[in-house]
Amino acid sequence: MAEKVAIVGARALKAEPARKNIYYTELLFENNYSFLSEIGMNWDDMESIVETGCDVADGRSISNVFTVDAAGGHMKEETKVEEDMGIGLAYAYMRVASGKMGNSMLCSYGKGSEMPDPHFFHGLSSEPIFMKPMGLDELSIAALQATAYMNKFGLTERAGAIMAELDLANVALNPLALESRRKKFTVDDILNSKMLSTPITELEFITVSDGACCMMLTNEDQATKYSDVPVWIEGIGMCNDLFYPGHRDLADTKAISKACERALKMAGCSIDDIDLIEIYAHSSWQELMVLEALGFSEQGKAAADVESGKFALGGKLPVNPSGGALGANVWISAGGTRVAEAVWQLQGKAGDHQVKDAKKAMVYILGGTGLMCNAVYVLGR
Amino acid sequence: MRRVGVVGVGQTKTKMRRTDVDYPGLCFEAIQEALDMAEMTIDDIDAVVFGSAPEYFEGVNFPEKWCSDHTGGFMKPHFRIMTGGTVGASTGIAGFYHVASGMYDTVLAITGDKLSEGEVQFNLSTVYDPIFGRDFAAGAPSAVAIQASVYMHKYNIKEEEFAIVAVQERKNAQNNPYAQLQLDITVEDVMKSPPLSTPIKLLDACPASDGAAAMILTTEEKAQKYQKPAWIRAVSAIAEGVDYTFRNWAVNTALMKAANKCYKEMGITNPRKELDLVEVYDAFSPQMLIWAEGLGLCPLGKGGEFLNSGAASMEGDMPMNPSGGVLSANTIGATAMVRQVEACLQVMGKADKRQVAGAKTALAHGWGGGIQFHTIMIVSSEKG
Repeated sequence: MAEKVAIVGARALKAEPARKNIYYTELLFENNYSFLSEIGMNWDDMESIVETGCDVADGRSISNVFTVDAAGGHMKEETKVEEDMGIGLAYAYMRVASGKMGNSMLCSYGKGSEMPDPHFFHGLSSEPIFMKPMGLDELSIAALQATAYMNKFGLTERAGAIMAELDLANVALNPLALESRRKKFTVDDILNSKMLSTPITELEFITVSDGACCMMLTNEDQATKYSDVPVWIEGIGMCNDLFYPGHRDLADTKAISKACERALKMAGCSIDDIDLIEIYAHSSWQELMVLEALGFSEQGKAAADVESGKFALGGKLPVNPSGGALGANVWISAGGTRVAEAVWQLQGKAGDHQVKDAKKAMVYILGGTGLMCNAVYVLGR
Repeated sequence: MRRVGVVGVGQTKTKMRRTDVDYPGLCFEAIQEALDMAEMTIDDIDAVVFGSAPEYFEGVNFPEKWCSDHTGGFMKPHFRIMTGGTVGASTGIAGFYHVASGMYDTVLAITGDKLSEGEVQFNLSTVYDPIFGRDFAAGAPSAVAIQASVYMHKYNIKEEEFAIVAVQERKNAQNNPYAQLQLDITVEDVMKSPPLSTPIKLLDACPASDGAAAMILTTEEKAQKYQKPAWIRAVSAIAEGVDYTFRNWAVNTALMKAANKCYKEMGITNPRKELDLVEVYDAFSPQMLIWAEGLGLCPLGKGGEFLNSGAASMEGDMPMNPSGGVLSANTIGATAMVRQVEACLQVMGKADKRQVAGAKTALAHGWGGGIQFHTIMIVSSEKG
């Protein structure tokens, strides 16, 4: 029988367009070090650390060479997952669930402002011979995907804007989000913002920012030592779709449904038990597709459900109470931050965007581009 | 905790350049060999964990996505571990936790790199600080040259003692069909080879290779159906901060912590006696001496004497690197996993011409980063 695994707390830095005053290792240090004192843990009592990072984001080979001491990993059981922190959570969970490790830090940082072209990050993940010359990146794949989704269900361009309006209304309440996005935006504002790649407009898409996020996982024995309200990782489901965008129907999200099914099975609950959802995706269009794939809306009906108020902060099932990644996208950290937001919701620490009496949350994390790599978590208090 | 057994391992023949396959194809070859050994198909795999060295080597970010269709990732969990030189071992260890956690029953761990696609030492020079360190273009040999020099001065070691390793490794490699450098050389040849970064000479250094390695790990219930699985008895991966100035390069505390943790877990008090062989990550010959000391196979400073005595040869009481080690093939991405794969083959009794007779317990080591990450996995034919 696997050990129960709790998240005792999480911390994230306020996202900013560019933290020019400090080095990326200092971002990590600032967040991790403050976090340990906040939860009252001595550094000596931390056994293990899972770093998440990406060499291409840092412009540097083997990025954890220089982050390990800033992160607090000196002489600890250490490893690095080269993906979003939200994907890294699955591995951090496994290490504690095995019974071999107690207090385990999971952390991430991102300083996308140092990257000359933010699309380089995912653009470089194309297959090098046939795909790369086409310049496919997270934006163009998301745009192809949104178009396929629109066509499949006969939607108009308003659908993506309706979802973005909900996200941005919540972003305005989230003090950790980018200030430039913490305003009131109407559907028309969103539709009239700069066209990035048809049908995706600027306000329907992530914007790269600087920041960091971390959380502490531990076993049942130590969970209440560091938190009055430990949040339990009850279910994890992961599922990859095909890599080549031309090999699959981009509007088909069966891999997400599969991941969700696995997470619910492990948690032993159904989607009816979920009180809120946090989604990490690159565009509001993908968020609609995710909501349908997870089973919270019928196929092609997510935008209509958003319009009905079902998913609003005061609605029946709040989606992205934090505003999601449209509020800030720190490469590698943004998915982890969605998990952190769910943790704060369940601990009752979400401030102005708190969902009343939240007991169970679902978090969706996108890895890579175009909803190819998917992770779904069920968290409960 | 759930016990974890290895029931299939696979490797590709390492070469300087494989022009006949691309990177995903290379990974596929190793996976097929592992599946064949385990008598499985990809449908029997519940989850895949991928590992490779820095993206810059092949020039593709998130290469696990590109490889995913070829590594069995479709409709499965599939993510990537990346810890530099240790990545192969870190990925094997991640496979262990996939099963030990109870999350998955049968897991494929796959690692590989195609170093011929890029400029390895150029890319490794970007490890260093972009403002203060990169201009030195130190790469890997210069960092290890500093380590070797500190070690030589501390214990009064001679370069010839390193050369013995270079000869022994290439001799062992002649028995390993997967190795790249199967050389018949002498200590004199090594001493006369051109200097790369003093005291390291060409023949003291590993080659750069194309290759992949895979492991299939499963539960106790499933593993015991196999005639002789390799049981994973202990794992550890310790990192230390990369303090170039004040670190004691000759004594690797992270290695000692990782090794001692594993020994303690298994109740090993005399590793030289209780281990039947070790596979260490000796990217450069001086490291074999330093790692032997760190693993407690001989006293500190006595690595040269230990190697000189022949104790670590195939005929000795503590064979090191029957495979020919990293000095005979280095893909970086798969290298530390190859150590684990070789350890498994030995305790499974499937190491053919390089088999250590009656091997029951074997240790696999890896190092990475600024000589700061150390991994240990101990496998045994006994469940424990």
